[in-house]
Amino acid sequence: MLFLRQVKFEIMNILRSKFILIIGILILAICIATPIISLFGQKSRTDMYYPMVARGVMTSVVYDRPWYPGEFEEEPIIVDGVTIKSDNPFFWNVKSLIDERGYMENDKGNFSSPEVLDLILEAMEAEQKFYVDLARHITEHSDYRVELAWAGRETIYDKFVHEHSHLPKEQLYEAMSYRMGYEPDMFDEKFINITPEERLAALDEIDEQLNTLYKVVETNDFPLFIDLRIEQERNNIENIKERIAIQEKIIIDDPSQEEWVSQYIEQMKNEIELIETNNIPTLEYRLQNNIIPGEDIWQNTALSNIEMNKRELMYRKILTEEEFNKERYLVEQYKTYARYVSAMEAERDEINNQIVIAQRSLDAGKPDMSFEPHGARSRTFDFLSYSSFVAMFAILIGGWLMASEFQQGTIRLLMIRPKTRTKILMAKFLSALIIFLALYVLGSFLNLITNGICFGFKDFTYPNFTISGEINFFAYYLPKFAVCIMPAIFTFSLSFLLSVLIRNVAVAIIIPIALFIGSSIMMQILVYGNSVAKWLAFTPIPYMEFTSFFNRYSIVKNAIQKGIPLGIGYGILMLLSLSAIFVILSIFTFKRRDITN
Amino acid sequence: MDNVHFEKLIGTYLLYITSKYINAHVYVGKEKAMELLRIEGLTKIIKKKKILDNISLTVNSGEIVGFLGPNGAGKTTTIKLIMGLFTITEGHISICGHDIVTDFEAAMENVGGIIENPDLYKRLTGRQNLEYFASMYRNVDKENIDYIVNMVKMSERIDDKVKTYSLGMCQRIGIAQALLHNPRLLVLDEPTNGLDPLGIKELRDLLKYLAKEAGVGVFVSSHLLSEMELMCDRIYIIDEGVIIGEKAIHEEDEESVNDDIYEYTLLTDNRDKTLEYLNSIQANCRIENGNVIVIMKRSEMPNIIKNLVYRDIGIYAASEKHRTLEQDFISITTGSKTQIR
Repeated sequence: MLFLRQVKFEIMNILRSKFILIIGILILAICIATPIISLFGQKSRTDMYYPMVARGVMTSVVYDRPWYPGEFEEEPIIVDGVTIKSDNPFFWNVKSLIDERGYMENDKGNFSSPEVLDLILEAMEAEQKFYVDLARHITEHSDYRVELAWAGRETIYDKFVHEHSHLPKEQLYEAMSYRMGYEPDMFDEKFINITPEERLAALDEIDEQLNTLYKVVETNDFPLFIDLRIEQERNNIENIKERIAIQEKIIIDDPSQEEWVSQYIEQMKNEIELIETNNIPTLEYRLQNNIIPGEDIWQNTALSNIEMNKRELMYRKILTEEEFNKERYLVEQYKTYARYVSAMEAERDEINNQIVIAQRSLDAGKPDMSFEPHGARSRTFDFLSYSSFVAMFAILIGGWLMASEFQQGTIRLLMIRPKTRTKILMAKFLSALIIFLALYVLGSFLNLITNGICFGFKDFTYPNFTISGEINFFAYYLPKFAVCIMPAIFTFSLSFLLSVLIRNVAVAIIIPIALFIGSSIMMQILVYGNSVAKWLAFTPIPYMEFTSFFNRYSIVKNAIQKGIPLGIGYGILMLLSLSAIFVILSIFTFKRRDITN
Repeated sequence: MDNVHFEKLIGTYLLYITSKYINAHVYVGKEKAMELLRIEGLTKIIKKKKILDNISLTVNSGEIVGFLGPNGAGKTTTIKLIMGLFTITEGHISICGHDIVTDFEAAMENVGGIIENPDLYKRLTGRQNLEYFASMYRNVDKENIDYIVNMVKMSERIDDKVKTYSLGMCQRIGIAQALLHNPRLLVLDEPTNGLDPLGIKELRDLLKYLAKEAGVGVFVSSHLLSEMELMCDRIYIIDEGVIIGEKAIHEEDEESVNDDIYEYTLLTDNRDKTLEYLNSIQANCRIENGNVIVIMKRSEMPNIIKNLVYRDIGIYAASEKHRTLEQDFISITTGSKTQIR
């Protein structure tokens, strides 16, 4: 009881220091300010993707903030009686086509004949007309129908080539490859060496596709859109198959090129498989569940996550031992085949897990945290890195605590009290520990509440998905929350020990801060360096930021991949036992110390 | 200081602690002096250098014991050892019968002290400082703090930040924190540093009062010899880590005739004749500032004056000066003759 009273007075004593108090309040202010700032940041970031691509370089991220209208606005263009505003998804396509045509007429010398230039201008006009047709109906960047434009542009050009097949082949090829970059073999195969009947059939097919496209654009018919997209994907498969046939012919003509050509063929076969097992099923899933692409809903994030992971899985096939030995960089990285296999398997497992989680989340109809990256859960979880702030604060308070007593001379009046030195030291240690733990809990709590206010408390009610099933967000969050404070306890004990040993506030603060910051630099050097620094696992260096254990891509994951045995449990054990050693050392030295000042 | 007011304050304090700890350790009468501090064979070695060598001393209840020594003699070291700031190389220190090594907490419950300057927490107010220190004792409450603050006359400024205090005010708070828990032994290291003359007198009166009426034992080091003379009952003199003298100071009783040696300054109309006579009786005499100085027993003095008058020497004045502690002190310590260690 007496000891608790002492601790209470120590806490009051520490909090009466303006230096500590102001820093503490600043840190709490950061906890509240972070969500509020990102709330405003998020508002100004809608629909920025397409204009940026079209403009090429555009450095400013802020485009159409509602409170500052017209900052980047361009004059609307009027083409064929259609007014296209600057925030139209096709504004920049149309504008650049108009501008480019202007340039090219001044620049005739670049082409072999005036006919070629005329042909290009004509094709560009057709393209422009296509975009204007789309722009008439589609005015939002997030509109799913925007997706049709990319495949549609190709169709427009195919149609154009067929319609102009009576012209000399060279002229046509020069003009078309200027805009589309056709391969010569493919061009001949597709457009030149065909019978008139085949050409008619191809044109029919193109017209039908374009009709469907325009119909989707005009009527906003989502099932029809899916049909069209599936058909586009099927066409894509056909195209790839043709390309494979050409490549196979090359092998027959020139067997010496077999090796890399067959690799290329392999890649294209993968692509076909991907379309069949990934793209088309996803489109079908979208139709079944009415998940409209482009809409700002989590299902889209989850679906693209699955697509991306499946693609990655395709490219991360485990090589045979023979193939492995041929790849020098792999041998260098992994040394042995067994290690390579286990690393790859771990990676593939991780990817598979991601797919399973996404699938589970979609099936349950509840978003996993990772599919709401701007949701309250994600933000709260990301804020775990706040523990680094607390660690810094803990260093400040730990280094200041005892050293300032020595530097101010108050230690003398303190040591003549009827308390043993161990008790005095422990009361100080505990009081500071309580203060920064309270700061951590309070700061995180304030952040959680502010996140809830800014981004909706509903997000907290959704579960997180793991490979073993659903888990309540807080059940998922709290253990990690507890783990993340371990480095702060460690750095605090270290600075406390230095404070007792060196009796100088500045030194006792600077050394641990340097080590804390230095540890991440050390990690960079040691993990991305050439040699595998296995001894790293026996130091506290990798455990200075536990948040990196919870992210999919992080330096810690990289280190584990390289065969450095890091683990969360092991890290906690090490940090806590080192902290205990520091405390015992500080008691030991403090007990035997003569208070000379 | 208004003495009446002071007596009243001390009276309240005494009444207060008497009512509070009637059975504890309120000193009653003077008949039974208790040994509060006992140092036996204390030796302290710092970095292979013997700072203190086999020091022994005692402080009894109701007694003010002075601790004199030149700078670097080991005064502060001794006090730090008593207060547990230094580890003991050899020897024993016990406070109220509790050894400070084996029974630190019990020993320290009975001591209050100031060591060197009272460095307080500058970011806190005087009261917050006292409350913080009080939290480490068992029985100190807010009322107690108020009484003591009142006693050291800091009530007006107690809620100001310490950084606004003068050295004298810090010293007063230092005294307050030493008395906070009603200790039986006070250990004060140069407590008059920074106090104004009035403050010094107040402190002296306070210490005397605590010793004589409350039976507190006081162990005080100071370089102000006259101060020591005025307040101490006994003085230990330390030099180069060794106690080289212990001296009891008796309160002067004007009535009793004593036969100590005194120094007399004679102002006469014929200095040469005076010296001639004094030399003729082989008295210890010299000339200083044009006056004749003679050192002799008081009992011989009337005779000499009679003889001088008889020789027709006119005497304007003959003044007596006690041989002071300062002279004792300088004569037995190396003082600043050697380099400060």
